[in-house]
Amino acid sequence: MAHYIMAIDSERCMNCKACIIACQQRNHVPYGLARNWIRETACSTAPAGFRFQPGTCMHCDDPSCVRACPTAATWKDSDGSVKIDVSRCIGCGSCIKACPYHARFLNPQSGTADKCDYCQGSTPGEVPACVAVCPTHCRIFGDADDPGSEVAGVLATRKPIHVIPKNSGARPTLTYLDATTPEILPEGPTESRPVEAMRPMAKAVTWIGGLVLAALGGTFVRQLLWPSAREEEEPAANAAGHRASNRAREEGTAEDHRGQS
Amino acid sequence: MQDAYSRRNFLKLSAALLAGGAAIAGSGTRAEAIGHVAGPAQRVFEIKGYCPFCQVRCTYKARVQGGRIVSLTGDADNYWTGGAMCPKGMSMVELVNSPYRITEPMYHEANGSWRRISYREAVGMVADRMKDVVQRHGDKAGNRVAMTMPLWDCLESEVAALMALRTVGCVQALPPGETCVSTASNMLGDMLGVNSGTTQVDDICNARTLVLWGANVSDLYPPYTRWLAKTREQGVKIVYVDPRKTRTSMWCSQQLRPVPGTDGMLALGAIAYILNKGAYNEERARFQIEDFDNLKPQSASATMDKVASITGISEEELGTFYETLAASERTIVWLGGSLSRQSNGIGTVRSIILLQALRDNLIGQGKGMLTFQSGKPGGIDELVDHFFGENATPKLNFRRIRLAMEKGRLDILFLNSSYRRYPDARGVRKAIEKVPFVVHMGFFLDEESEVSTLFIPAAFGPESAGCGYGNENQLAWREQIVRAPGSCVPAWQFYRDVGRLVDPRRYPDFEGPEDICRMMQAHVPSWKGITMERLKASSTLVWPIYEQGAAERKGTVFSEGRLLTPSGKMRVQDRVFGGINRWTYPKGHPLGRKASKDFPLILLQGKQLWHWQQTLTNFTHSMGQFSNGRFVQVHPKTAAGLGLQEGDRVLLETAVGGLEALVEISENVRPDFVFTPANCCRTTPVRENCSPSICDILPNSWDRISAQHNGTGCRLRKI
Repeated sequence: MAHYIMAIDSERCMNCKACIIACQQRNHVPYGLARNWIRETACSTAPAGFRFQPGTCMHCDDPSCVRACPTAATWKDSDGSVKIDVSRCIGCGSCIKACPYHARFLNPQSGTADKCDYCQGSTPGEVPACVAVCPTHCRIFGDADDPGSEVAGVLATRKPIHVIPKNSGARPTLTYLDATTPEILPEGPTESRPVEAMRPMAKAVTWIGGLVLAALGGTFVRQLLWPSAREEEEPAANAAGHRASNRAREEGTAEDHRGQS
Repeated sequence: MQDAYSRRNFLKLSAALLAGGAAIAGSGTRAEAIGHVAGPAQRVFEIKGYCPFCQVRCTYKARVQGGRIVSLTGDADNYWTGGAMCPKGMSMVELVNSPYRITEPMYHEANGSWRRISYREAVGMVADRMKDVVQRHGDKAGNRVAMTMPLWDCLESEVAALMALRTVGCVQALPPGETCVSTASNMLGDMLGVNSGTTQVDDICNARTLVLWGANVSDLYPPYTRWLAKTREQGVKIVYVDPRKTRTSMWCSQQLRPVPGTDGMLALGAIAYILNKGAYNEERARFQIEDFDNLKPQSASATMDKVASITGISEEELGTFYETLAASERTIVWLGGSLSRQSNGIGTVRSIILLQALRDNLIGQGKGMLTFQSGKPGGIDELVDHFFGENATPKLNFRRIRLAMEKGRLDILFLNSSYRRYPDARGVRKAIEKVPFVVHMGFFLDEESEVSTLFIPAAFGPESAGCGYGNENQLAWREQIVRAPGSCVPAWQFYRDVGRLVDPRRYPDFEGPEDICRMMQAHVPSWKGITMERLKASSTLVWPIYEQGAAERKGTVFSEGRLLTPSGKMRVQDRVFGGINRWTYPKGHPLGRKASKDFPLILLQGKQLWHWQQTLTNFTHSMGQFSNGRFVQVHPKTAAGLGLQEGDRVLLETAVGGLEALVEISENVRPDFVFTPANCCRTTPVRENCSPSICDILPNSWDRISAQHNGTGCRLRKI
């Protein structure tokens, strides 16, 4: 199993934004929203007046977004990426709030959380769009466990830097090379208590729902194979009922007369 | 009440729940914000294409599903780009599916309303007009018709259009580079015998020094930044000459920021320094410069202190730069478009070329000149002449065409590109309004359609097969990727249909671009080796190839060891353009002799990375998301002096007019000038890209070759 990591040489980024639009188009992210970004930090000594830091989901180890999800719709996969199963996502937004990098957003088209998945959802097996189009090759992606891969090479030979928001405890796998600005981000959001409370409740709901479904299924099968005695009697009972009412109409019962007067 | 709990009812309920669930699952919303998301059953195809915008001509693989482009991926096999792309190229995904696109031909009624007409009717209307011009003006009909280029889809469209013009004897097709680089191309042609770059971008890695003289490579040709990065990694010294700090600044080891419009004086100073120091090989210099003895007297006045005073660059910085030039064994100079957009540009470019010749930096590997928009395979005129006979009519520049329009001497104008690229755009518009029949082949209802008689809906590149060409003289073939909507047609089809109606005897019949390509291979010697099979199999193919199977020719054009002028030499004192000793500021410059004190700031305009001129990209939300409309970059000191703050709205005024802009305070500009983007469009529905053209407020200043866009005086008024 591959172990994917993205390394970024942010000193080569010129803020052309090709990575952003390539990702939007490849993954059908509405313009104006984005799975990736370029952070600009004004710096009078920088050649272009700014330092640029490209970013995207950090595919953290023990990610706070995974812990925050009440429906287990998001998880850390064995290939190193953090994924979302949109069929399980209820769009509650708790993972969005929990991500200290603001790497997630609510996709208004699908109504679910959205984030970088290394383009595995749209074009599995291909290089992520942001990596493919970059004119300066500042994003390097691949299997870090493959010693022959470029990403393994740069991770072995260059100084790794992990950008971590203050007090977040995040453990990002996205690695900047040698230098990047800023190295520390402002304090990110933490999980809210209601969301934390939702998790055991959601588990309980899942169990109860499961039990109810099992009961319904069992009843369904039972009714197919061994219909109840009452149902067998039902047509006869209905027929008897019809005869009784006809007779009453012919005889003109007191009850009927009362009803007509 | 009946008992609901029965097997029948239970089964009914179960079936209803299943059906309902399936219906809900099936009607799930699908993101359609970008491109087209087809159902999973539809197969995805990858088809090669190329970007229509800048001259890098990036090739890509379009992912097509259900007959529509879903996304683009850069072509990793492209030697020049390595698979890189920039945002504007990727905006094609949005453009082909744009809701603002006009897809049917329309006639502009006298009362301003539009009447939808059929394509056949439109073609007939144009052909009748052209026949009428010939009938009324006979042999002189040619100069009653003109065309502005570029055509947006392919080289074959250009061939088809030029042939359509020739049916009435017209050769007045105005090249797109006229307002961009024509000074540089003319001077290179005059002095070196080749009117484009003399080498190719990969050769910069072989140089010792690369001078980006006003060449903002990273903003204009973003994918070529990879070559700058590679060059820097190989230890080549990169010197960037630009008053603005830009993305290109990131790759240089020295940046000089001269007062805008003083580059000519900077170059003269370099010549004087090298001559004084004796840092040249006189034999080699005389081999290339016919009147070498004129060089010293013509540059003598450019002393270090004078150059420092005029350019605003310290003597120390100048010394470092000049010493680099004097010591470098191999130097390539990349000429920026801005040098050609100032009315003293002829002198500037001539001085730089002479500087290269003086240091013997023109002939050989890792030496030479590069320009923007320089590559254009030859042979098109040869093919047109093959069918229509040799042309003897001189080609006019836009200044002359404008005069003809103003005097009512132009009957038909094919307006293919933006008239707003010319300075004094309002005056240009008035001139166009005097032309009785203006045909605009375009995509949107924009400023050009406002002044047109007839609107022909054009096809975007991916909607037709064809051949594109780029800065390195490289050709790229593209198959048709998707079908054009409505009655949109590629330009080659429209001009073929018109040409065949006007002159069926001479206008060749062809089915499409592939036929034209084959005609080129059959009738033009430099295309003989560019077979369809080879073209389709290659990512790109460098023109010329004279023999089938021959290798692509790369590197310097001076392969015979001499310049390509008739004498093999250049001149300091030119018979037409004079010498280099009469340096002046550009017209209207605040420091010039006739400067007005009312306009004390120098105005620079230029491209932004994610926009291509004033046209198509302005109509995309994908580019709009990165734009902030019409802004003006102002140095903090200038802003403080004028009491301006970030985000203030100001009136940016020149002697010609004014337009509103948003203040952006930045040290990336010098205190003596302001910068504003060249794109923006008044008619776009995308608010972020909406503003009148900057050319609306630029005076109609020209030198002997091209129009001036930069260097005029301006002022800012808070509103």
